[in-house]
Amino acid sequence: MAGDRVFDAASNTILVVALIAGLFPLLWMITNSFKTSEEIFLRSLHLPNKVSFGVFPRAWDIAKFSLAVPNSVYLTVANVTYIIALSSLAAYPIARMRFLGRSFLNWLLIASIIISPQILLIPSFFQMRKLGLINNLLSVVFVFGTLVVPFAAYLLISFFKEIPIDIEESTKMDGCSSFRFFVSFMLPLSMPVLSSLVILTSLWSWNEYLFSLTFLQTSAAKTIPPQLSWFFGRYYTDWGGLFAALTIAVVPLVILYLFLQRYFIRGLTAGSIR
Amino acid sequence: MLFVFIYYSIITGFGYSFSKFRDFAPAGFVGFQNYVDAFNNDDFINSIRSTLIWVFLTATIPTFAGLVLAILVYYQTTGRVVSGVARTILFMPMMMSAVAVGLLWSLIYNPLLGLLNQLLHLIGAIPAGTYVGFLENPKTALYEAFVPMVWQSAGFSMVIFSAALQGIPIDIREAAVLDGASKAKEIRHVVIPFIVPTIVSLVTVNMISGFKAFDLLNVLTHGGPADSTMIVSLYMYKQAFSAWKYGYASAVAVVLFMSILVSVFLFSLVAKRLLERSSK
Repeated sequence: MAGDRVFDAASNTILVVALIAGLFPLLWMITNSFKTSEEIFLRSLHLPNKVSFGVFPRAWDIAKFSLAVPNSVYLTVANVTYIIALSSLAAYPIARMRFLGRSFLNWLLIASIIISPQILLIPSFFQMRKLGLINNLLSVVFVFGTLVVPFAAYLLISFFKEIPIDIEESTKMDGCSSFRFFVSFMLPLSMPVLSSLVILTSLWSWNEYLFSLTFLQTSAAKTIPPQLSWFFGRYYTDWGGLFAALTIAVVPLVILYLFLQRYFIRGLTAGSIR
Repeated sequence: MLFVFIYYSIITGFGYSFSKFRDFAPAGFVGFQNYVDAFNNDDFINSIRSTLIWVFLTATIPTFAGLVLAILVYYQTTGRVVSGVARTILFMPMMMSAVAVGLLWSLIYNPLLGLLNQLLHLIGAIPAGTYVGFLENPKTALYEAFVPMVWQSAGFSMVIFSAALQGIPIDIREAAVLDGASKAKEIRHVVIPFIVPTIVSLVTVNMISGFKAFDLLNVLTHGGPADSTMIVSLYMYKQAFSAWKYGYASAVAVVLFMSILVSVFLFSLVAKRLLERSSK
C-alpha cells in the first residue's frame, strides 16, 4: 500500500535520527577524552589527531577516583546486601504466613514505595549526625537502602506468592522449619527475580547522588557521582580532564551493559510496570 | 529498620516543618509560620511553577517518544537486527547516573567547544566566532535542561512499550490486515487501544520521577539562570544545606511530598476513566 511505503520511509528516517542522537553524545565524549585540551578547544567534533592516553591517569588522580571508586564499590555491595536481606525477610512472612496485621503491613509497604527521598533528607541528616554516621558510607546504606526496601519487598512478595504452597507443605512434613525452607527452597526458587533485583539495586546504588552528596562531605568518603560533580565544579577549564573523568565513570558500565544487556533490561523493567 | 529510618524520619520531618532551628537543632515551635513564609515567597512560588512544567514534560514527552520508537521498531520490516541494535543503543544512557548525564550535557551545551555549537558552525547556521548560549536564557533554560532527560529516559519507556507490544495477539493484527487497514490505521485502532494500560502506568512512573528530579538539574544548571530551573527539590536542598533554614526547608519538603501524593491520586482518577473507556 502506498500509505505503508510512506510509513516505512518515515519510520526508517526517525529511527536512524534517534539512533544517531542516542549514540553520538557518547562517542563524542569518548573521542574527546583521547585529545589534549587544546585540540578539544579547537576541534571537538573531529577524531583525535594523535591518540593520547596521558590524560586518563591525570584525570584519575586529580578527580581522586582512587578514593571514590572503592567507596562506590563498597557502597554498592553493602547496599545490595542490605536491601536483599531486609526485603526478602520482610516479604516471606507477608507472602506466606497468617498473622494479625498482615494485610496492614502489606498495605504499608506498598504505600511506602511512593515516599520521595526529599522528605527524608533533612530529618535523616540530623539523625545521622546524632548517630555519628556523617562521612560514613553506612549512613547512605541505612537511609537510601531502606528507602528501596518497600519496592524490593513488593516485587518479592508477588513472586513468593506464586511459588506453589504444596512444596512448602511437603517439606514441612519432612520436618523442615520455616526458616530452613525459606533459605534452602524459597530463595533458590526465586533466583530470576532476585537477580533482577540485584542488578537494579546495584545500578541505583552506584548512581546514588542525593544522600551521598549530603551525608558524605569529605573527599575520603565520597562516591563517584558527588566526586565527579565536585571535580567538574573545580576544574572546569581542564577540558581534557573533564572528558577523561566522565569517560572513566561511564564507559565501564556501558561495557558491562553490552555484555549483560538482557539481564540489565529485564532487571530495570521488572516490576516497575504491571 | 523501615520504622527507624523512614517512618520516624517522616514524622520528625513533619515536626521540623513547624519549628525554627538554631545550631543544628530544633529550637521552638512556630506553628504554620514556615508554610506561611513559603507561600509568601516568590522564589518558592516560582519553583512550584518550574516543577509543574518539568513534571508535565517528564510525564508526557519521554513516554510519547518511547511509544513512537517502540512502534517503529515493532513494525521495522528490515528485520530483527535493526530492532535489537536500536534497543541496545537507546537503552544505553539508562546505565549512566543522572549526574554523568548532566555533566556530559553541560559539555554538549558548552558555548565554546560544545557539540551543539560546533555542529551549528559546521552546517553554517551561525557565523564563526559567535555562539548560541544554551542554558543562558531564563525563558528557555528549563526546556533545554529537559532535553538530556529525554535522551536518558526515552529508551526506558521504549523497552517497556516493546514488551507490551509483544503481547498483542497476532490474529488481531492479521484480521486488521485482511480488512485492508493500512499500518497507520492499524496502529491507531488496534495497537494503541491495546496498550492503554501500559501508557497509564508509564505516565505515572515518569510523573513521580519528574517530582523527584534533582541530580540532573543540580549538576547541569544549579537552578539557574535566574532561578529559572530551580525546581522544588533543588530549592529545598539549597534552603536547607546552603542557607541552613532547616525548618523552612522541611516545610517545603512536606509541600513537595503532598503534591506528589495529590498528583498521583488525581492522575489515577483520570487513568481509571481512560481504562474504562478503552476496555469498552
